[in-house]
Amino acid sequence: MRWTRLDLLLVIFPLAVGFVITAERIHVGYGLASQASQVTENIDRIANAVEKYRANTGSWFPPLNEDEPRADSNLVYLNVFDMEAEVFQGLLDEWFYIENNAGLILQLARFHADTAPIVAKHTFDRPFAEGDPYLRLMIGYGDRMPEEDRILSMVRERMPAGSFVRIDDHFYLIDLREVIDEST
Amino acid sequence: MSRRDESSKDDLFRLIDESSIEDDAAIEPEAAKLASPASKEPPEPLINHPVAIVLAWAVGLIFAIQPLVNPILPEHDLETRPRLKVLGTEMYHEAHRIETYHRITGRFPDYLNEAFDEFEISWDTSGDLEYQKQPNGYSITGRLEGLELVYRHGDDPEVLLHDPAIYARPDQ
Repeated sequence: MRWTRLDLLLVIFPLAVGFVITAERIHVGYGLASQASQVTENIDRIANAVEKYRANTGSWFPPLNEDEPRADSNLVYLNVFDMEAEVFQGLLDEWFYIENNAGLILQLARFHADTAPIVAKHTFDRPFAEGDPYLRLMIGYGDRMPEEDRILSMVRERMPAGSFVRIDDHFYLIDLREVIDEST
Repeated sequence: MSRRDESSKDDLFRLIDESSIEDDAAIEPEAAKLASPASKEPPEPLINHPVAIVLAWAVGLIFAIQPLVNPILPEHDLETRPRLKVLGTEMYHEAHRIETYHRITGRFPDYLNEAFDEFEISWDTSGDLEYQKQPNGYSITGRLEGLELVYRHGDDPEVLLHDPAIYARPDQ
């Protein structure tokens, strides 16, 4: 029997709609995975630089400059609030820029006992010693929040087990020691 | 006219009569056939392949409902931290973006409707914050249940994350 026009229309239309929806999902998923890969690469670069600094100096970080008016700000790198702060050897600012991390805030921080309550000594399975490194990851609050949340979930899947801690839905910590141990 | 001619003439007329009767008899069945409804060909159906149509819609539906069944961007979890600390984190996030804008452009934004088109960054707050450019920088004000949190350029941003109540005052 020959195909009528209505036959062709009723067969082609649902297949075309299904194809378009699937193609869009693949495109969106690929874009998010690509951004997650970029964030993961930056985390790996930071981990390698910190490990290299420690291998060369015996210390995770440079000594704290206690003369700074805000000692706490020395605990965070990259500190966009103080761009004149001393550059941490081996680290590149570009690895921390939010435009290079899919809109996520990525910061390297050193554990300081007085920094509680956000980060406590036993935040992770392995207790922190003074000056141990960790990463802070923050996602936004507006229209891009679902995308950033999904990207962060993808990043989390690529991190070592137990290295991710959720402070709240917009604030996460990564134990950089675990990331370094995983890569070495 | 001779008798033979008349006879031929009669034969001719008889032949003519017989042929007209035969024609009528031949035409009549054809006419009868056309007049009868049972003799018409059935009209062509609109659909010849219903199974293919059903299969196509089933396949299309399976793909079409995927965004509902398996969304790429899942629903966000409910917030569990104290709302003041959530507000402090949001203000930190906003201040971080403003400082990033300053790093890229060398100045603070006049208002927060501008987007970093070049870098695909936008002012993505929940709408609870008020930004004001100041002569020496800027201020961000967040409001929550009769309290006002104010952060100014130069203040310690870490306080927003750890103990935002330090910057809180009654809402005026």
